[in-house]
Amino acid sequence: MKPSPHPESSTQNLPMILTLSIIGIMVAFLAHSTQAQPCFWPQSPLFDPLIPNSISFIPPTGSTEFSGKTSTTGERVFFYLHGLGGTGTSWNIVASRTAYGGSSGYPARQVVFDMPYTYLQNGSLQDAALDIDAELNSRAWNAQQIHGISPGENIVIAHSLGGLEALLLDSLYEDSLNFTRPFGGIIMLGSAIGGSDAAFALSSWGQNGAVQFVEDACSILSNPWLWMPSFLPPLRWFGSLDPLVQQAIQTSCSSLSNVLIPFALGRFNQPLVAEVQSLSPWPLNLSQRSPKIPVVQLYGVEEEPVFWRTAYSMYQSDSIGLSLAQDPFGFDEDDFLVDWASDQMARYQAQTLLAQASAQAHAQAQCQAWLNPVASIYHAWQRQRAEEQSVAAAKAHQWYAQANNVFKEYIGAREIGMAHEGYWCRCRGDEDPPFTWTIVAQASDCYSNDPYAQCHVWPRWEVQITERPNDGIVLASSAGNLPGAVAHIELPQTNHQQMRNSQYTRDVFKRLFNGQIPGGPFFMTSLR
Amino acid sequence: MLKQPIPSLKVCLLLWSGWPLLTGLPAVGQNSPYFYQSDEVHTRALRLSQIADTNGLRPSERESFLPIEWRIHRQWYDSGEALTVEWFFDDVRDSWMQPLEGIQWGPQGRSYFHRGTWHPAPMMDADLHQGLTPSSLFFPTLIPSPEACIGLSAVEQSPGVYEWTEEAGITHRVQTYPPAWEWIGPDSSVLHWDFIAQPEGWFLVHEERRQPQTLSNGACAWEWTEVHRSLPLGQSGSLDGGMALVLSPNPRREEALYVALDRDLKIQPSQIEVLDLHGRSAWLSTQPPRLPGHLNLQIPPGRYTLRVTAGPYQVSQAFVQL
Repeated sequence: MKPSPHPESSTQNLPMILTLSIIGIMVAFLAHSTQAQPCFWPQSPLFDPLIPNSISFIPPTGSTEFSGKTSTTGERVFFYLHGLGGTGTSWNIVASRTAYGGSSGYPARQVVFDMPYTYLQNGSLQDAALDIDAELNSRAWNAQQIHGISPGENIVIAHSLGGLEALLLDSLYEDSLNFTRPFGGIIMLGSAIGGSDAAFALSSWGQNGAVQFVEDACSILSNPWLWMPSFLPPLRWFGSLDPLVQQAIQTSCSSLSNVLIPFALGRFNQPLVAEVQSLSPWPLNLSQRSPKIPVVQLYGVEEEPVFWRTAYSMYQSDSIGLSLAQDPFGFDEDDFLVDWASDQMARYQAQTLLAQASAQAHAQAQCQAWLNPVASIYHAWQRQRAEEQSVAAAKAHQWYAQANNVFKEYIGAREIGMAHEGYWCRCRGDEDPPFTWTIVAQASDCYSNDPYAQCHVWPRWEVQITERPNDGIVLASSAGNLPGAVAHIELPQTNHQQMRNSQYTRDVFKRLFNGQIPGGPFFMTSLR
Repeated sequence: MLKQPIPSLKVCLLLWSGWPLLTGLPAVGQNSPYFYQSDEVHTRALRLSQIADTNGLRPSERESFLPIEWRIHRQWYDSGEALTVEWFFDDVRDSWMQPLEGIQWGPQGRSYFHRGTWHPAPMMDADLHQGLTPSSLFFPTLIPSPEACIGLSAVEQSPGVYEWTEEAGITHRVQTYPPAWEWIGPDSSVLHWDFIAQPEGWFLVHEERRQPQTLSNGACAWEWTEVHRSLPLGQSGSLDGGMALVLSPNPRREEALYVALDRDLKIQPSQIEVLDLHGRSAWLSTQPPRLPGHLNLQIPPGRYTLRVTAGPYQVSQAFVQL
């Protein structure tokens, strides 16, 4: 066979051909990558949006049993009862303005001023009720002697636990041999007749949720990556913590906790909180029993985020005397902490991403300086510090984002049900996008022979979220569901702390005292 | 005549293997203007390491099991001064949360956009960011050179997998197949980066962080965060013929003006300006909507030019206002 005149030419040209081919491929690839194309979100597990199942509350129809019961046109006494952890001063301004002077859109009534007092809270529910009974009977007797007012004309206006005590008294007064009834009607605001998870869950007598909640906040938010000691914000609204809660926090948190603790939770450390749980005997009994006198229930339905709104009102209610002196029903503003929490979330989310970007930049600088040991060590160190900052900021962001829902779980307004349902399986491939997500029945189904795949598997849960309307402490279904009550009236956009002094309360009081609530002419009280 | 001998096949193979390195220079090192963008999906959740009872968990732990996902449009560009990175957020979780809308890190500093205002970003340690320019997400090399491996005391655990110890007992592992970096902490926490080859370099396509946590009922779980990125799209060099604005309707009456880049490229401009015939600014927005999108312009009749600025690039298109 005749040899080719250029036997090695094909071999010699091969590198050139291959080089040109690669250049061609790379140019085409580059051109493709620089072309403007629609963006697509990268693939990740498609989490179904977790839309809570919101259970609306529809109160029962009001009773007409007391439609014929009316009051006399003379004076009467309003007895005011405070809530758990409160004092008589909680009602002072409303009481005085109702008796004398009135306020804008709220005329004064023919009411003998009765200074609200503080009842015993260190014992059981019944101990407190007996203490109230003794005091009210004494006051009713005085009113009868001095002003000639029949005790049956008097009305109890009670907030929260006070309403439960008033209803408990109503049941005790069925024993007419041992008790004398000092009042003939009850207006209760936010009283958890059906029981409350909040007080017990948050108290040290129960699940100690207040301490857990604040400890979480303290340990996360006091991270030095988030606050430099010299730039700490001033102590603004977190002063009135219960000593027990404070003590518990001090053992696990630094002194920064005093600055960063997000709200005051000192109101629930009383033994009787165990008796106001939903399944305790008194709530079980009272919530099924029709009262023997006209009762009007007012219940609050706060808008989201209930936690931040209630927290703000909790703080404010400790220092609102001056502003409420002008208008006792002007306690509606509660946006401040909502905006503040949003600001904190944005700040920490930005800090998280910027710290991550710093870590990436240091890692990039490190790989460009691998031959320089000093620079390499420096960038490795700084990358790690940036990572620590990013993790700290991410946790702070998460705390603020979750606080509202966590609090709602404590008060029973939110439930999360989790049921195991297969496994997530994530594997890497060569394609774009590089990851594939599948749901498999067994963890072993995620196995792959391809070492490149590096599959990860973890349990997958079906989640069901249930939410209920509430006032930030008490569920509407607990405070507005009493059988036999004359009326069950919603106070919209009103939280538990606001409802003594809300504009909606003023409107309901006015209608009640005007005799405009069907079935409740007993509450009509003449204008002064 | 002395002729240059044709290199041998082995030499050519070496050259070929070097070719990708030539094209794989990081974008940050480019001199010509460039603009890249990528969409990110961030996910965060607590994950049980195995099936366990979830009834006795604290509320904060239960809440942490619910995955949180947010999406960010990220773009980075360099007009020759310094790299600038911008993040624009696409979704909001709860209606009451006023969202973080954007973050910027460039020569002007680091700031974030929230409730209609740019705020300076919190910076706890200035040294951490001193002289640091943001990452372009393109990495020039993954594996240290053999000389660098000696300097780092890196050990090749298996073919293509190198490990060495960094600060505070953290092990740094790099591997070529699949291309990934991993940092393993003394507490078993893991930070894992996956790369994908791109003409501009190794692109950081996926980040994953796992931190072990013992729950209140004794169950073991991981705090898990992930970032998935779409492949970068972008433009490097001049714009000649690369992009054009599409305006409709043109001529326009009262209706909203639809503004898009041809081929429907999604982009977040830093500025949109309308210039009249004399080059005077008739309308300006420094917080313009993302394109493609609609503009509601209130301008008198006439001939105008709409100018979109995105990073180092400006694209203009004339239109008529009736």
